[in-house]
Amino acid sequence: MSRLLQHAITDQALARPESVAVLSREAPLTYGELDAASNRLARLLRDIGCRRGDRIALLLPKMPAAIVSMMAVLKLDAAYVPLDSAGPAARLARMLEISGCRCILAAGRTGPLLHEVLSCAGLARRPLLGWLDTSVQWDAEPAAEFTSSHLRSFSAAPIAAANSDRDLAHILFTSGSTGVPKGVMITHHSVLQFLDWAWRYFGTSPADRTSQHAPLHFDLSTFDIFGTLGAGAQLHLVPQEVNLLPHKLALFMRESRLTQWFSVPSVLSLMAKFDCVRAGDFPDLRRVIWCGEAIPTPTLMYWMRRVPHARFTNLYGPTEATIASSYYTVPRCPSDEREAVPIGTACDGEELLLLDERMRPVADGEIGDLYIAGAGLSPGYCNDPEKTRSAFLPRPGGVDPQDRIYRTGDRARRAVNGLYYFLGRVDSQIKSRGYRIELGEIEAALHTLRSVRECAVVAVESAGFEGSMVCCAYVPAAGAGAHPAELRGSLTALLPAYMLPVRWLSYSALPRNANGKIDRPELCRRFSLTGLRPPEIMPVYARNLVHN
Amino acid sequence: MSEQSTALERLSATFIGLFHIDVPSAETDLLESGILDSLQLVKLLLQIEKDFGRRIPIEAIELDDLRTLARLARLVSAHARERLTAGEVVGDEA
Repeated sequence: MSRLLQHAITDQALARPESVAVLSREAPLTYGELDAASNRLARLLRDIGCRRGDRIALLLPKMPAAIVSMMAVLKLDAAYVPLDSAGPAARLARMLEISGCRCILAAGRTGPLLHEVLSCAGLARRPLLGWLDTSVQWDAEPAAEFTSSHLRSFSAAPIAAANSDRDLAHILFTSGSTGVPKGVMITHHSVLQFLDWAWRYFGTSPADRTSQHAPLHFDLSTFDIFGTLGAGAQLHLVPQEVNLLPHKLALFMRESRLTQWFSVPSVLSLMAKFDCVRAGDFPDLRRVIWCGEAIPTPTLMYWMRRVPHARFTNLYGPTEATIASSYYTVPRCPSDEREAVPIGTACDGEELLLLDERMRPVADGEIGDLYIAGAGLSPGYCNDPEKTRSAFLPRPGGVDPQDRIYRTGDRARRAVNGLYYFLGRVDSQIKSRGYRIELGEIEAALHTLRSVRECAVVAVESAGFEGSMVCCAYVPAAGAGAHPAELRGSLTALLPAYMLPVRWLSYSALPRNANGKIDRPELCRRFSLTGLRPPEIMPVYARNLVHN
Repeated sequence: MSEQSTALERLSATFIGLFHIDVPSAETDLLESGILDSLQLVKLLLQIEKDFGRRIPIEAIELDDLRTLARLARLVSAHARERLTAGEVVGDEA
């Protein structure tokens, strides 16, 4: 029998049924309850016609029912598709179409969004609907096929799995440069390969209390959820809203006595900027892990000085290579704020390759394009063989067609000590507060607005904690007012909030270079000049670093 | 016009001026709809300091204070007497 993602958790449920698995604002969920509830839901889904290989969308806020749903879908031999519960509806409907979801499981305050998604004109076939909330009712059209009250009549006994570890566990959507999100297909095998490394490397045990910070449609959450529950530890769901208030995040970490924190760096920077971490804070914290973008070295220095008892590890890797492909544990607190933090070396079973434009290896110290090979590679993008072919290539000089490499689009170099350093992008993909954004997707959305004649979206690095800022230069259509507030308002129907431009400049004609192309470097310069950040916060931050 | 409704009007104008966000109503849920994020909150607090001459320490804020424009206006009014004096932002910890 193949080893599957859910098996480690069902083993824990047998070993420690009374232990708490998931903590949230709701009642604690034990391993035994998680196992039983997911068995019931898997049986119910089978009863309404869901089958092996189906894709099942989850429109669920961070809540225990979301974890139960993931387990249930896997037990049914299906793949789950977690959707952003902040929308927008048109984009989510697109994802449902691309992944061909047979069913949607929803709960919480997603009701109005769900109604909008199901009413979208683009949705050819209405998926089955399960409403998994006891406190909030679904009373809109269309009626749900089932609600959580129906679960009671189903047995909590396990159901037999037929999947192999090469089957899909989930599909995660990322921004697509042509305006259409890409669904990255992830197998059980790829996740387990990473988890086996992570369990060994971090030594996760049932005594651990870990954060679940990333939104559920991010692949960081895969590590949180399965890395924690497969090790018999306690998973603490961090409410999304708490991110707004850094001192509340610190309070959450303190009160939950977390042993592991895993998030994007911007969260750590925000907490540093507001000086929310006390000297020797979080005495139980053993591991601070980040992924998704480069950590500013001043942020790392702040944390390492305030929490000297923890181990600090950088993970690197795109969704297409499953959670992370390389790691670097910072051996000592950097002494210089300009010292770059490397992305380290490959995790077990993964391989980093640096190639030139003719696909030949580059020498140590030289800059090259970063490719990834190994067990973490996704089979490709859902229903998109063309994009799959252009990103997943046969290994140069390889004989086995299964031996593929993934083009990350990142530039990097390998130092003589064997460590890899990230040096930027080859295209217009950016990271903003950990979110992966294709600027082309924003431009594609803007082009659908009649009030815009021409536009260009660029990213400007900021000195603050937020990383890149999305900026839009545009030419209004003749006779159209096209105030930024109106454009932004129209874009909210097409793009998630984190992709909306924060700075706008209206032009009568966009600046062009000698070749007649839009002069993007010039636009970046203009946005940098117009948007100098107020200096009020920085001195506090800088002084704290000096004095600690 | 009460101090709170003045605050509400100015906050509403600040959202348009600073973020190009036209908040539909004073009761629109800013958190649920993802309208307000951490970066905007930081900018907003700085702007409130400029516009209203009062500083609201982030530690004094509860999540519910940020839920709607109406709640934000109440928060600003509640800090009416805590005027900011020059140089107060940068204290000395050494």
